[in-house]
Amino acid sequence: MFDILALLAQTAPTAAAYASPWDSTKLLTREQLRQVVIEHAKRHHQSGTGLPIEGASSPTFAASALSVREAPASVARPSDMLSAMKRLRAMSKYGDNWDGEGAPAPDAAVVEAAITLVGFLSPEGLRMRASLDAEGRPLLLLSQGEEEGEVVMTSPTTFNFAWFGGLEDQGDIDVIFDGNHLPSTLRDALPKRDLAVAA
Amino acid sequence: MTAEACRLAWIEPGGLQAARTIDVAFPKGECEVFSLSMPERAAVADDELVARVLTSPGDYDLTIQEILTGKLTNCYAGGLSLIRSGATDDEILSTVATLLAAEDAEGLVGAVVVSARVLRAVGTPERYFRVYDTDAPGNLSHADIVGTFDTAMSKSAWDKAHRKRRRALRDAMQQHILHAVTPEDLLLQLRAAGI
Amino acid sequence: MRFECLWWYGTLTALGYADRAAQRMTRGAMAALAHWRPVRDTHAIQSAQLGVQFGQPAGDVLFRRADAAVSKQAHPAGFMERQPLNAGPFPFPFVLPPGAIVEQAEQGYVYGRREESGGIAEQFTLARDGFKYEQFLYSRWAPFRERAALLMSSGVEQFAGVSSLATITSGYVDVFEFSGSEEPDVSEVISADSPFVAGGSHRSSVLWHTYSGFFEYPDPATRRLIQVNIDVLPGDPSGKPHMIKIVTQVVDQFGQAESAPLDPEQVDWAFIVNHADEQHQRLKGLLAQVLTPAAAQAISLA
Repeated sequence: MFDILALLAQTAPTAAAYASPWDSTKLLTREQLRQVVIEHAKRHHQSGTGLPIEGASSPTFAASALSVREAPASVARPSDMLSAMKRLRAMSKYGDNWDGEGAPAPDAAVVEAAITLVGFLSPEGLRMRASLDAEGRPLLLLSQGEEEGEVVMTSPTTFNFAWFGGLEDQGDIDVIFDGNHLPSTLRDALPKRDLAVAA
Repeated sequence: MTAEACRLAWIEPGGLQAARTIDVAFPKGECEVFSLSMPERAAVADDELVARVLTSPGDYDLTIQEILTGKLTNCYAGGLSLIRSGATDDEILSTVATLLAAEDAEGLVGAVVVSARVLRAVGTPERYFRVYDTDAPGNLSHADIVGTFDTAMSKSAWDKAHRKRRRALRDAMQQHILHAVTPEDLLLQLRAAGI
Repeated sequence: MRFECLWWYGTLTALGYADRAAQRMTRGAMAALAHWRPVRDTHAIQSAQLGVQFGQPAGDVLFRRADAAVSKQAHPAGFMERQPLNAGPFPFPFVLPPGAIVEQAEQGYVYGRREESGGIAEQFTLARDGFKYEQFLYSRWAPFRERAALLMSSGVEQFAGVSSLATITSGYVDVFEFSGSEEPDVSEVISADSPFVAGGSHRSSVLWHTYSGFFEYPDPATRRLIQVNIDVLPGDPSGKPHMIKIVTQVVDQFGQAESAPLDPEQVDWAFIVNHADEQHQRLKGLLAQVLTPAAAQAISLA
């Protein structure tokens, strides 16, 4: 009798991909593979997503394939980074007198650079707000606790920044930003995390 | 130093250079005793109440209930607009309407109502800010907060310094906010506060 | 486990899960992207991943050394949470003498960085045979790449010294959510002419999917698996919106029978990044071939 699952098992990637994590010298037999196929297919059917469920995979990296899953439920509230990106994207479309008080329109290329910078700053754990200054330049307002600072993009490849509230005020002007790395002069000025590790 | 000289320093070249031009020309604040608008208009006295309309998200962060220092950069460009005491209802409502129509405004927050003395005292014993009577289209009762410049500082030192001064201005203004949902509500509150 | 796309499609067909009775996709006039929203507003990336897998699992010494290197970078980078990697189901057949107890060796760790808002923004996995970095608050490729380098580069180069490189995997999960009140029309987001939508398939706004996969050979040592999986999922009365999920994945495979051998000396972090950069561009191209112009514009996909 035509055994679709057996056929599928034979056409699957080499059995080496399914090697038991407990003994990498042993490969699964055809019957073992058939059982794995059935198990995973059942999970698919139950999940309704049609794709592997993260967390049910074996511990080998080969098993932790990309899965279509909801973002972890804990990412529930909008993050400062996403809000800042959204605001900058909206502001990049402003025209002259966007503030009702005569400010010039922002330069779209400078705003794009600010969006990239937001991405680099996001993991630093700071509160972040995006704004424009009186000259239409993207201005990132940052804070952590009692410390605060700001970064103003002055061109697509340069920014000025200042940081206050730490042991001493810090800042620099005309910092080169190539879009590939967070400049160390800014990174070093930002407050360091508390390294106590959660249990 | 004459009223006319002060006025010229404010309007030529004017625009985003106005604040720097007048402060460099008159670093001791000599022009504060004059109107930069019309000779017949009075300068802004220390005791006079002035109002700065706040909108969100440009001026004010609703989530942390705080004035954003970004808009305060106007102090170092063309001035940060204020409504003076004695402004008519039309002037106030027109100002609010103009600000609410701006691209960066989604809603009205209210206004900072504070005496000019409080603004001028920021940075004491130094003077970080001056308050001038100035022109505005359709509004005779208009003033501007204008920052002072320390030209002795290096470029990088000044960049840090003026950002810190804006924080001080924010802290001073933060304590004097009237919240309002509609322009009409704000008008009533401004009148009640003495504007 | 990772399955080739064709294999999965066959599996799902066998279970009767794939396309059933004909339901033609509503093909109304192409509307502006007014009824679908990218899940992150300025972009649709729910998850971005970069993984590096090696051919042989690391022994204890190498694994612990790699874990030490990762921890050294992870903690200052804000990864304050760590948990053991899920051991998964017991393998079978597994015949034990009565009363026997089998200890499972530690298989790896998952590190997480939690934002103040409460959500996990980044996740890093160290397994016996590789590494995976994942962002749930993606912004741009360059910051993503820099974070991956911070966490992964040292461990990867340690593993590369003793084990053969098996795969480099990059992928994105893009999600669009429906925000209208009428019947959702996926044609606003998914191009009717997309080469990755199965020809002749019957699409509706309700449950529907199309999965594609094929190989490319970008260089003699690399076999590149391309996968594009599109799922259309219904909302539910609880308020969960209709969703379009687009999974794009590029897996560069090394050491394949038809490929030239990879010189282990050339496998360093720069090698990984070169492939990852190429994969990133390829993934953008794949997504562009799925989306309508309006949807592409909504997420600033150049």
